[in-house]
Amino acid sequence: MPLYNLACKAVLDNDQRQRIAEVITRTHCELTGAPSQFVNVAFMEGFPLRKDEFLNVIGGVRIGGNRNVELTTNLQETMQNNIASAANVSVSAVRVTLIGVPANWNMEGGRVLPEPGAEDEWLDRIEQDLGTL
Amino acid sequence: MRKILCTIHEGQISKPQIHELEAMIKRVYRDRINNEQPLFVVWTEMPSGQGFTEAKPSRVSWVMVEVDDHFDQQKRESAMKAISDEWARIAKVSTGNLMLTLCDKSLFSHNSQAFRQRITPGARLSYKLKLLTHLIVTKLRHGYFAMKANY
Repeated sequence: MPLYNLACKAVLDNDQRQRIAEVITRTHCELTGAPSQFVNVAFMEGFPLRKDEFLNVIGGVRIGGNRNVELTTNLQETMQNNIASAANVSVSAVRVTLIGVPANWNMEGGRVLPEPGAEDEWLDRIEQDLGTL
Repeated sequence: MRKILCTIHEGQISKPQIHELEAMIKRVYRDRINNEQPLFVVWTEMPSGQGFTEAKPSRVSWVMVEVDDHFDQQKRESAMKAISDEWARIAKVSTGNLMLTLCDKSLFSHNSQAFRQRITPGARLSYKLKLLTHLIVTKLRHGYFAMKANY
């Protein structure tokens, strides 16, 4: 978590996917402070999206902790702008929906995910358990 | 019925492992979550180059399990730990190679609805038919239900 699922009208090439995955990862981490090891991106292509959409993004993200409404709104808008730029399409051709999931409904590395903002101690424990995640 | 969605990456988990993982998840579900609900497990194999973690080709499987609303948190964590440990054993990976969510039914439905609504209304019926056909064909051919990552 997060897992950003992108449905795209077209089939993208590897460079486009890499560019978009990088911008999603960077945007999410810069705005939320989450470690980049958490960020997952899945591309699903050739989908019959709505008429004016080229990319439809559904992001499952942790809620609670330091994630307030302002941060979530900012994340959604900035993600939309940055993905559009990386995909070289207009902002209106990208739709982003964020779905909040309580952190303690998730497990990675055999440990329940921490509340947003409390990742440092969690990562230390994981590294003791597994080495680098 | 409760649904379990398993997303893996091309070439990382074999068909025998898929069967064993599915049997394990169902067993843990019956033992620790609910032994009355029928379970519907669907697998998606992401083609190479379409799954990323930390902006690199992903080696993390993503699994979402539907549970009753307001499911007891202690039981949730116990079930997640059991699935996580067994997944690592069967798939011969680290627990760091699994992202697992045990999601209340209402949020699971909300998530599913968002996925459905992204399809333009005029294509939803054909999408459903295509999906159903693929589910049936894969069940007959491989013994488990699978959906395609791409349309």
